[in-house]
Amino acid sequence: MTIVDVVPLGTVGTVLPALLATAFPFHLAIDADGRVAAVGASLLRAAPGLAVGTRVHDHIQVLSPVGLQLGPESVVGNERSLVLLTALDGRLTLRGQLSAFGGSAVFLGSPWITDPAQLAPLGLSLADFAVHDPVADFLMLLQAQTASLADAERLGARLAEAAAAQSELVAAERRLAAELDAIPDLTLRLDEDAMILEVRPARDGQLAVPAVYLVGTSATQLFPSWETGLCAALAQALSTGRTQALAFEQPVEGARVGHFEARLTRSGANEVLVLVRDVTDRRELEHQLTRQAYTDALTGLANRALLDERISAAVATFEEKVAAGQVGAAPPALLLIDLDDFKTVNDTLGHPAGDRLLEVIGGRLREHSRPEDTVARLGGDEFALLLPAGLAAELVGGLGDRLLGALGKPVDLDGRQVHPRASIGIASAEPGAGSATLLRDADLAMYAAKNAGKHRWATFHADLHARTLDQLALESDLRTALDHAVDPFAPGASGGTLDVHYQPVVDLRTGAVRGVEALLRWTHPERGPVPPATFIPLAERSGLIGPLGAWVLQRACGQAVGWLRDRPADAPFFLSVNLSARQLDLPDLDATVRAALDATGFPAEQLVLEITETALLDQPEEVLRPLAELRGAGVRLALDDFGTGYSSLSRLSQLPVDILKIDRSFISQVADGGADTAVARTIVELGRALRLTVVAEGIETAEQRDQLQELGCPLGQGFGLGRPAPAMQTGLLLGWTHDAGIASAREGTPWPS
Amino acid sequence: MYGLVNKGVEELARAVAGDDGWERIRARADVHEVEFVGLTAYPDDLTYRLVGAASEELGMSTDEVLDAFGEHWVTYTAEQGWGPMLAAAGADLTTFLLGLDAMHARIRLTMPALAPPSFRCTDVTATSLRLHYHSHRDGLAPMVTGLLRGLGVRFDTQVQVEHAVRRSAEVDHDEFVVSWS
Repeated sequence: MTIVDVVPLGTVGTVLPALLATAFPFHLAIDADGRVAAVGASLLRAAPGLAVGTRVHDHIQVLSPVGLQLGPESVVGNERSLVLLTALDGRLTLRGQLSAFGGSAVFLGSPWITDPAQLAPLGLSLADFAVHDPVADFLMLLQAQTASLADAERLGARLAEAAAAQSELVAAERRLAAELDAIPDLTLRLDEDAMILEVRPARDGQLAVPAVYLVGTSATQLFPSWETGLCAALAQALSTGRTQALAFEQPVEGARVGHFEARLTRSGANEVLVLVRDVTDRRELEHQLTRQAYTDALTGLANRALLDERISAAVATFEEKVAAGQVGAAPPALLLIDLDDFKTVNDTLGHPAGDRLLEVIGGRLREHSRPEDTVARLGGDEFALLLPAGLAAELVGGLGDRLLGALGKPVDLDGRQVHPRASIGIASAEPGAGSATLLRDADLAMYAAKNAGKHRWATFHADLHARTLDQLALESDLRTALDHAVDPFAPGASGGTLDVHYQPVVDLRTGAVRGVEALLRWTHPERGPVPPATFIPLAERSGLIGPLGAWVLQRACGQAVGWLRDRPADAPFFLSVNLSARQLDLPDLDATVRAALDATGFPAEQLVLEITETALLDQPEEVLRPLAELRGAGVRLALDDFGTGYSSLSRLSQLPVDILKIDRSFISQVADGGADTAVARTIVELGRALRLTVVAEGIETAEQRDQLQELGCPLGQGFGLGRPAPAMQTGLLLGWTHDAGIASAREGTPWPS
Repeated sequence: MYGLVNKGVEELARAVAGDDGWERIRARADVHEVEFVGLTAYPDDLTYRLVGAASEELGMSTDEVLDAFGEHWVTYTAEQGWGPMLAAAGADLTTFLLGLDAMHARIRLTMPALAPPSFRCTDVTATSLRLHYHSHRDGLAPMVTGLLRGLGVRFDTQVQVEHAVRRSAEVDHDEFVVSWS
């Protein structure tokens, strides 16, 4: 059917033929009055104002051809023109052509749509277009192209991202390569079976073969000692993603053992990056530092730190055994060995010789120890021998004697034979007491050996500890007492009182007091009078002897100078003050004596310093020098307890002494006419020969006094001649008159020959 | 199929299984393309392999995967720039389904390798219709169920889908009864 068939020409009514309406759902028929004669359903939906009968120009404007008037008369000549119409509201543009039909101009076309999104606002859908309308296909084509462009843009962006990532990857790989080149490690990439995927030596020549030859081989061939740990570490690194560390040793360059550390990091699904660092030098340095930290540099023995660790370990093991109920577990034993009088070697032969002696002693101790024992030097001349396996009680004596014997063998030091002597303290660990206690006990035992006369061994026992505590308390009290004596305002009640008593020294011919010996007395608030034999060694050990001796000097000189003021001008008098052997070691002895003299005004020539024979004989020249200088200043020196120290005559003649004091041990039997009488006589004659004054000590009876007088001994002292007395009584005694059978001090000179 | 379909499968897989999951699916399907181009035609086999691999990776049946993909397809294509075209195809479910064949025919003009299925509606009422689904591909009917559900979401319509007739040796197409309230 055609339009012509249905609707005769010139009979356009209100409705166009159905075929036309279906084929052109956006058609528009305009009559000669310019009014809408017919309109397509789709166009009417998009432009509801175009109802039949309305004026077209009220709603539609011609865009092209320019100047075209919509009406029947305008069709002629424009049949083949592309007519563009637009709704006056601008929402819709129509494209099509004009035809004349039934006295009307009929516009046949459709909306010009370039974006499907434009349809919805117009109330249209694709279904509103005729099936043949290319606009719908055009829209689809545009949509496809738009989608393709968007796709291309996305793809381009992805490719750009990928390129950037690739570029970053390349840069990262370069950085990584540079970093790997910079670090001093051998770098490996291994697969999960430890097969080498890549290898980068840390330096030229590190590998025996070119790296490329190693690719595809197992890493365990490169490092055979990896065999055990590598596979486990690889699996761990791959499964956990955590870096694994592996340390191993491997022979390198012959018999030398190299130390290596490897770090394994997962670098892919099935591969691991391995950095292998040669830490041989570092490890050797660590070993060296450890050795230094635990070794005595001089002897090569263990030092204090290592001994402490070994003691702790041995005691801990022992205590574990005890806790586990191991009956009879032997406690570790510790021997502390202190050389006797080592200072003399240093002072006389010099420190290099002293060091060599220490080396020899260390070697001897090592020879007498077992592999499981620890020989240590704790410092100075103190050594230790730790027996972790303990020592049966019955073997203690044997070991002590053996060590004393071994250590005591002569040592040649620069041509001088030295016979080292040592004091040894032996202690065993007590369950639950700890390692510090073992060290303390051995120390106490060692000091017990020293106090017992040196060159011996002593074992620790509980009384020793109690005695030590007692000694510590006594030392503290002595210090307090001294502080109070020096400064009366210092608290001193707990320390008791220090005082100086004086025992007269008498002319045996006349009975006149020629001098006094100052004797320190200590009265303890609880213990009462403390014997000098108790507190003087204590003062020597604690270092109090220096200030104590200075105080005695000061005190005695200060008191004696008053007596000098009262005495007649021709009355001889001297003050004798004892010096401890330890005081001779003090660098300021000379200054201390001079300070006392200066402070008190006591004349130097009337001061006598008494030193025991044994103390003086052992002293080297440099120790005697201050004494000689004091002697040059007028101070006299007396050799106390003479006869007990085995002085040789040649040595005696060299000593800077003026007075010999015969030891009291020769006096008690001097009246019997036996050996002691002969000794006393010899000493008196010796003194005479050497032009030394002789004083007999310990005279208790008139017979002794008479015998000594008969032997020609000029001076004497003892309970029989006068007991030590406080200063006030001594002052009364020195009233320079006869008293208790003692002759006046006015007679004679202080230094009878 | 066109790359757009494969991209849709990829996007669904990434959303469900993550990027690593998608890589595993791709590896499992032995697919080496890292990027699909929407308007490039790929072998149907590739899409089938992806669906199969996704089924294994996600622990779902292929029917479940296709159903999910069909539902996802509606929103996915809209997001990929085809939304206006979907809108132009109809403002309600019935209009859209009625114009679906025409839309595929028009798309085919632009995408000549496209072998789209045919959707024909009969028994159209105000609340239901019968959809006749013809395809030269086998086994994609579950995807239609998902598609219809996805369209229901798009048009904010509560849709019930009944797979009324299944394609078989005797019947050349599937039929779905779609109803809504």
